[in-house]
Amino acid sequence: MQMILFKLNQQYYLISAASVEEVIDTVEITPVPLAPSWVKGLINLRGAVMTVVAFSDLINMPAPKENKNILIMKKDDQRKGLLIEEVIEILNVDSSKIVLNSDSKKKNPDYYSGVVSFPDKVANVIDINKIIF
Amino acid sequence: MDDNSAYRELFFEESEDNLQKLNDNVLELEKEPDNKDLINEIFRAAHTLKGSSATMGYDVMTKLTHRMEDIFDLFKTDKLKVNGDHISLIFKCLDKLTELLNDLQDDKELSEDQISELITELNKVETSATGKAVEDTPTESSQEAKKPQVKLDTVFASLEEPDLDVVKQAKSSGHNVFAIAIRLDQGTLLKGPRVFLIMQKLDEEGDVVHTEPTADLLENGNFDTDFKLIFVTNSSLDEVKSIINSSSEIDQVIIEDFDGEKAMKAQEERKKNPPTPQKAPAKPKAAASAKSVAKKAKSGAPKHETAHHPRNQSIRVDLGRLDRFLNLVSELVVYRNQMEDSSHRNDLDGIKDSLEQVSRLTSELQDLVLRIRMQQVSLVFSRFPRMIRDLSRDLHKEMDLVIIGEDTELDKTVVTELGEPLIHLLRNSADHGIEDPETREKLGKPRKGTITLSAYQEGNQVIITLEDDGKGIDPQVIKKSAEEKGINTEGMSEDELRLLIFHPGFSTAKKITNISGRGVGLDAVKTKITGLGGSIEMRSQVNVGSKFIIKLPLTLSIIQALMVKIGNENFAIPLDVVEKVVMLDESEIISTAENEVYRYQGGIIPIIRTNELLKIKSTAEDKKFAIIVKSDQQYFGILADQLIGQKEIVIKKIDPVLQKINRYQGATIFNNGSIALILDVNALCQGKGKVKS
Repeated sequence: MQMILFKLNQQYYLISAASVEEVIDTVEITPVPLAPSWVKGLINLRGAVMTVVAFSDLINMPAPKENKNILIMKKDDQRKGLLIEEVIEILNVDSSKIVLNSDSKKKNPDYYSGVVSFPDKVANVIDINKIIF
Repeated sequence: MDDNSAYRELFFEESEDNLQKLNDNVLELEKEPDNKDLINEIFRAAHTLKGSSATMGYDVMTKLTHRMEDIFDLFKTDKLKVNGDHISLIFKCLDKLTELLNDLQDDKELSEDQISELITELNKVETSATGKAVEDTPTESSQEAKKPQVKLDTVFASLEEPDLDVVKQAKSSGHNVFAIAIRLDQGTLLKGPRVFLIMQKLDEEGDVVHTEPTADLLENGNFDTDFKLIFVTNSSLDEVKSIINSSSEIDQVIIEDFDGEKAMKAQEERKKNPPTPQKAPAKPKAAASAKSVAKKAKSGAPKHETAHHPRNQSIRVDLGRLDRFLNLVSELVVYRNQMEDSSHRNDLDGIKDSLEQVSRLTSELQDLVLRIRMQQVSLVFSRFPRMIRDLSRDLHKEMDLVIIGEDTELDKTVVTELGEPLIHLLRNSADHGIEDPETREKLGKPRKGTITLSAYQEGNQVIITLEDDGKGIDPQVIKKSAEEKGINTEGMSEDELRLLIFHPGFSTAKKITNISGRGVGLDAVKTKITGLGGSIEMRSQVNVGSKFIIKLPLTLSIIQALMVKIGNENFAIPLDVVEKVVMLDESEIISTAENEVYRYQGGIIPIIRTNELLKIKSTAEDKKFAIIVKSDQQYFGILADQLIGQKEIVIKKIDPVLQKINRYQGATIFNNGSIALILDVNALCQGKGKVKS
């Protein structure tokens, strides 16, 4: 299946391309006072107001120096922006290559669905829609 | 029925209109029982209703309407005096028809059982008026086909007033009107086409205004051998005769001058003494019921659904507005082409010019679209007089409903949502507000209570008031009742006590009636109104009356707003709550033990430090702006660092996560693409109030 590979603080993540509507460059984000910390604010996507959440906050990681991209995530009629450091590439991943270490299953958060190893790196496969919608 | 589906929507819409018209007119009739024009109008509406339901093949509806029409006929001919009981019976019929209509809309089969009770009641009234028993089912179908052995004559069975009107008009303008009875040969094979040919020939010479059986049945060949018609023409009797005789397969023809009154009399006669014991041609009916049984069996599986299907919502638009819409759009196309052209030629001035036109056009279009969505409040108001009439009978109180400004327009969604809360308030007024006639007399009030419902537009708001001259709301009664329910009323002013009626789970009626007072009282009303972006206030004076004031935004999505800056962020404040903006210095804000206040118009009002409330870093300047707003009849001063100005903004919904913060109504997008949040002023002020207590 098609997956989007992106990085955060030297770590790599894979997300199913089916759950992403589009990838945009980061635009101006209007903060919302009093909102939960993982809600970065609102963006104007071609006339629609959309909430943007920060990937780093969702997985309890320190925020990267720079956020270059926003993934527009979709679920049914809902849309949300996911702020990430940078998209690397879009690639085809054979689902049999996704390995879930069953020992560690218990302590893994439910958005984590395994790892895929590449010759030069290892990427975490995540299903972020489970926690943002 | 399926082939009718294209007309179903139309039929429902039309029938709803007709029912509403009937409701209104019958209500009038109760007040002016002798108004013949009114009866005629009622007759016409009922007739249309009957006609269209018969066309659609909804027999049950047709039957009930038919019988109702008979009653109107008795009113008309003065055989029956209009009285309250009769009117109530008619209303019951109208309600039943509405129910049948709803069932049809939900694709339920109708059955005769649904109306049998009413038919019996109608029969009783009719019998008492005419002194004769009424035939059980004098529907058209049972009388259509005469047996061939019956002598052919020109007595009609289903002539109706409107037909006679047509005839009268035709006669007065010098046309000949003939009653024609035709008997086809026994062995005629293609009866339908034969009739069609005869009709076509006749149509060339004049107009066929009435046929028995109905034209549909005739053209399908669904009759024995005889049929009758009324023919309006300029030709003479002999000419007509020769036209008909030029067709083959005709056994016998009778042509007579048609006389409306005589025909009606003959029809009555025929109804009383049918020429031969009729074997009712139950065929079509039996077929229909067989079909309905089959259908029932089929639809047995999905069970009875009580919930109504969501209706196709439609809206009626004034044609003028639509034309204007079309014009604007075509103009827009012209300027778009110009702009494209200028862009090809790199003509910047040309682009600017056409852009100016485009922006003018878009704002006109915006305005127009909003107006197309507007509906008159009469859409909901129109059913209230009937409701009040029924309530006054049920409650044995005398009251009048006065409606003012029913042509005030509001957004369609608001209008449809408005019905429920208003019904609630009206019922409250009728039930708890208006006293019974004796009490009213003792208090020196007229026996008849008055409820006034008015609507008017004020700026960007529509204000609806509901006022009664009843007993008013006694704060002490509220207090007692509230305390019984464990609500703390200590130190509350009378106004605050009165506001408790909006408290969830509060009902003042000591006696719970089925009219109102099911515990979910006014708080449901308030929730609904707030949900529509409006507000509700109440004023009341013991023994003088109560008044509810509902303020609603004209439209839901576009509002006027005051744009401000707090810290470095932009915010919008809906202009309708803003009373005034004042510039103030930090030193003018007075700290009291519990909050900060500001002197305004001789009183002091609480100051809301938005920057603290929203945890925003404010600019350190001492000069600030206080936006004086009104929330729940109290002034508040909302602090802002900078004013940007007044703007028309489009409200965009925000994420549920952000709605939960309960500080923002939504967001909006600026011309330059940046976003501003719209502050929920009520939540801000009330939130502040909570902190205080």
